Amino acid sequence: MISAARKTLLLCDDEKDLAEELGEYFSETGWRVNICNSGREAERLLFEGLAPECLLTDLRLGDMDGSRLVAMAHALPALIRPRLMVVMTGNILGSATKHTLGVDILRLKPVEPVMLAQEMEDMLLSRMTD
Amino acid sequence: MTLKLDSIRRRWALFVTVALVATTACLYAATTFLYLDHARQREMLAVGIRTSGWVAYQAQIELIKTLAALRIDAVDPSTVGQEDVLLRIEILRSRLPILYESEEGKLLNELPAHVPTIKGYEAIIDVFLAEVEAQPEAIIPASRLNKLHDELQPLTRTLQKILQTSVAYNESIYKREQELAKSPAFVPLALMFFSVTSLVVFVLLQAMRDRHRLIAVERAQAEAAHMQENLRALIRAMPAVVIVFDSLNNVVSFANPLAQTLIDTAPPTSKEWRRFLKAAQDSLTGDEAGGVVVSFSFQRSNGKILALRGRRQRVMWEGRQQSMLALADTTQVRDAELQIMQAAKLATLGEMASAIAHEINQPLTVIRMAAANAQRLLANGDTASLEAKLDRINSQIERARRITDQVRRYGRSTTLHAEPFFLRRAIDLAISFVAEQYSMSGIRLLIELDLPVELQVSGEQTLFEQVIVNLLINARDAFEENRAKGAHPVVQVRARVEGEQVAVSVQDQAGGICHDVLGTLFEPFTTTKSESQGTGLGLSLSRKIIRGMKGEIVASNAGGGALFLISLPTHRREAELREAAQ
Ligand SMILES: Nc1ncnc2c1ncn2[C@@H]1O[C@H](COP(=O)(O)OP(=O)(O)O)[C@@H](O)[C@H]1O
Ligand SMILES: [Mg+2]
Repeated sequence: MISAARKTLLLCDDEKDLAEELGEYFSETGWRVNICNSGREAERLLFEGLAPECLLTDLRLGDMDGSRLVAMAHALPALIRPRLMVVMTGNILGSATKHTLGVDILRLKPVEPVMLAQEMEDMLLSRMTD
Repeated sequence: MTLKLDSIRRRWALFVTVALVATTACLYAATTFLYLDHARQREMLAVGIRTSGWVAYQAQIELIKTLAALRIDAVDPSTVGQEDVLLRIEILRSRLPILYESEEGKLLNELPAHVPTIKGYEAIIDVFLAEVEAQPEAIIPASRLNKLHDELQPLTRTLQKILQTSVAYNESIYKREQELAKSPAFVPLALMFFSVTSLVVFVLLQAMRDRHRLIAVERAQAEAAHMQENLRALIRAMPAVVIVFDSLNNVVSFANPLAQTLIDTAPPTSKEWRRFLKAAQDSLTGDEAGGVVVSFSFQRSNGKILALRGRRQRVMWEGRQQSMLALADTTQVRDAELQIMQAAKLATLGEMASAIAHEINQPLTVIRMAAANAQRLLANGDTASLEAKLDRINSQIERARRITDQVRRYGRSTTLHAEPFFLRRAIDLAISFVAEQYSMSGIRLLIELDLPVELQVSGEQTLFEQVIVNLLINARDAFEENRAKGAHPVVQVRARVEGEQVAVSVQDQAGGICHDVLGTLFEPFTTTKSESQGTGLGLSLSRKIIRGMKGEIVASNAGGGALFLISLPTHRREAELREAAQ
């Protein structure tokens, strides 16, 4: 198990209800969660050095593309860069894969929360033991 | 050519008629004149013969009697003889002036030359009479009587001469009369003959012309009758619905066999026909050359819906002004059109399937997460917070239902049933339909609907939505194609009221319409897209739909993109137009 202090998550979805439910779910499973409803807000938090272990974002945000947010996160200094990046999407656009998007996990909505949380935890653990 | 000949012939006939009439009139005048002249001559002759010689002759007789009385009394003077002499002299004296004063005397040619002589004798007689008057008791001596006798003797010659001229004159008159009698009015007879002949010719010519005219009229009548028969046969055989009706009371006076089989075989006064005529009248649109355009559907009593299109005209039928409907049965065309429209709608739905899936996934995701959280709450025994979760789940289910409803509504089979609908809501629905697509493509929609919510237009709502969806999808396609060339990802949808019209515009900034297709943009199969992407039917169907709503759609390039402008009559205006057409 990873300590609660290490399990930090920045959650970004322009759909408020969904962001809330996701946030609630991850909080209850031991994550420290920050929620934001727009790409710009997420960008600001990351730049200000929130430095979450994990970034979970919707692919389509009202004001910007989720892939742009991911790309931006990749460009952050290593110290504040999230170790794990996860994208959810309503439907896959053409040839987009987790590799082209540059993310660790790509999930189709409606996501299965138990599995997703498990996978995220496993992956994060393996990264940290690296 | 024949026309010219005809006109020449007509002019010639007119000339002959006028000439004949003029000749006849002249002949009549001449005959009358001759007759009058003849009568006057005869009258003159009678007067001349009776009177002209008479006055001279009487004077002569009186003179001879006077001379004899003078001689007798001179031989044997007596009172009785003297009285006789005086009486004779007085009679002679009164006779002499008659010679030159009376009308008859004036007729004698040479009389004026003798007047002084006669007056001289009158003076002699007057002297004698004056002497006798001076001594009334005295007996006139024989010498005086002889003297008077000798004085008056030469008058005999004068009177003789006058009598002779008068006889000569009478003779000449007599000769003329003889001549007249011998030439038995040859000229008047000839004139009479000519005038009668020309009258007869005139009447004959007139009769001939009348006969020609009658034949022509009869021929024309026969032709008209044939024509009418042919027309009726044509109307009966025509593969079109033809109905003649009295627009005052909507009673059908004629329906060709096709109309009867298509609409109703019941008597023309039946309800079915009335319903039919009402449907036709309700659909009247503006006047066009050749009648008022009618386009309507009619549900038969057996449930089948007919589509009919044609014109209404005013005609004279059976001597009355009536209305004629000539209609084509467009049911099959309409059905085919509906199928194409339906196919186009389904194609749009197919195209948007992924966007729809995404939209439905959104509430599903919320539901799943809420359900997961609810399960945990239940496990923890926290039932108080459960209710909020269930509410959230319910509202998300509602959201999903709205999406599926919209898809269902959009995909349901198309009818052409026009009904007033709220324009603003229809535009909103159409936009919400593509909103997901647009956000997926990163295109911003600028919406300015300056419309009262309650404003209505008339038509089939989902078809109108299809038009807006078509335009928005075309704009998206144009943007996708030109994304690399720096197209602006902005599409504006605007609407505003302009009097009795509403203007709806869709404008993009994606480079505009290709010039090659601008001219035929609204014709079927005009497309610049690959076969898998475009059918070229979108805009042609759109125009069909908008025109069905009595509106118009036009396209132009403006502001770095395409601008599509739709104008529609508002429902009230549309109803007014329809009323006006009746
Ligand atoms: N907004 C637009 N911008 C540029 N071109 C357009 C636009 N809308 C329509 N067109 C042109 O008009 C053509 C016909 O459109 P349409 O009738 O909808 O058929 P389709 O979309 O299937 O090709 C398109 O192929 C395109 O070339
Ligand atoms: Mg199209």
